[in-house]
Amino acid sequence: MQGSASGGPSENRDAQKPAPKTGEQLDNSRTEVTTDLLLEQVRNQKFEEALYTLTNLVIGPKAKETFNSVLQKLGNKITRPDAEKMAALASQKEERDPTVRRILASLANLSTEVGGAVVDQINPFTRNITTFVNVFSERIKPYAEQVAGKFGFAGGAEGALQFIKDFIFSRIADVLEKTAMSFKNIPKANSIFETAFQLRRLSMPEKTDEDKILKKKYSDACVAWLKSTKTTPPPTPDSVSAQIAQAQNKPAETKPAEAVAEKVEGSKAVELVDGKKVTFTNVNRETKVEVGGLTRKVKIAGESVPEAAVIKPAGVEKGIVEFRMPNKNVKVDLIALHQAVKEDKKQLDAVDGTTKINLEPV
Amino acid sequence: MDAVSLTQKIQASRLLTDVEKNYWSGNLPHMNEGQIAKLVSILAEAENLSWNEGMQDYLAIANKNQAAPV
Repeated sequence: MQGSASGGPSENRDAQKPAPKTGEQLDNSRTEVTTDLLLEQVRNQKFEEALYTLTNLVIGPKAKETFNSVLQKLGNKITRPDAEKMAALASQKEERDPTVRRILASLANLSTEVGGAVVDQINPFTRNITTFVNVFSERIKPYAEQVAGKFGFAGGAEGALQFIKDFIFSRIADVLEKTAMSFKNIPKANSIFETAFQLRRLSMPEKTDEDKILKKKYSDACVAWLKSTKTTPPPTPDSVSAQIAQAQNKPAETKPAEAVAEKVEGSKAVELVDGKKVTFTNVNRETKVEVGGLTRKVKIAGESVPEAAVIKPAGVEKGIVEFRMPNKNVKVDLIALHQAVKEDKKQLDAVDGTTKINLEPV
Repeated sequence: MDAVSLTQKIQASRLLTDVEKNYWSGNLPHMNEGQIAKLVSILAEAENLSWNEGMQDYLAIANKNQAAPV
């Protein structure tokens, strides 16, 4: 074009060369570049890079001012799940640190020497997230209240710090649970669920008796759920709390019907899992048990058992037999009894763990 | 090292989880001198970890590959 021919390319570059920036302008540029870079990295799912950009910002020059400016500029543009992915990735990196691994091994050895192992063992992934959150919390300590304020919490610095830790633990647990649900490999999914449950437990308070009960009940619910066929959503502290409240308000008569004991009269066969079968006979106030052609007379403290009753609802794997003596009733696990007779054992323990049941050949 | 200082060191450790902090603090009264000395040395090693070294290395590499360096 005609107008553009008035100067050469190098002449144009000289004319457009920006004037040197002041310190304030440089700070503003740094904030803008950092914010743009963070958003771009998160948009492209490069969470690892985004995390290090953020870390560098916190440990870099004029950290507080730049950190605040970037937070303001970011607003709600980075979603919580994305932030959590960054945290999880950072924790995975630390797992590979040989020094950390050596120190942990030394601690484990010392723990054994002191007289046991750490009570509440947690898996390596949980530890990594915990370590990351501890390091991260320490870094943001000076700005803890402001960061907590972003999430709607107002309070002292220590309270704010705890809030942030709990918040991160809880949100990471959310992400882990969602991730685990997409796994078809059950052991792998269980392992991820376990991590999520441990993180939730870490964020649960233990100040009052109610807190402690809830934490215990939540742990029990998690264990039961992991063993279940997972047809219901995983338990959460809120869902367990609601169950406790419901149970407290529930009238006693709504308890599930108890299994009925069926007295052995003559002969009674009981089907167990995998086609296993136990047959009891009671003739002349003597109880016998038969498994796979082996018959044994049941005796307790040298006495014959005058009466027996089987307690095993149909379709339920577990069941017990109650041996009724003149002075007490003794309960025995049916599967344990089946195994003892099959293996030709002479004795087994009752459910109470103290009474011995003798099995004598007929 | 007295029990109070050691408890503070345990609580300040970035490597230990909250459960482990409680575990070690709770066990202090039952530990002998040798065990306490061992714990002190382990905590000191953890304290001196260069936590940001890996991060700085990564950042240097990341910056080389970024169009707009931080």
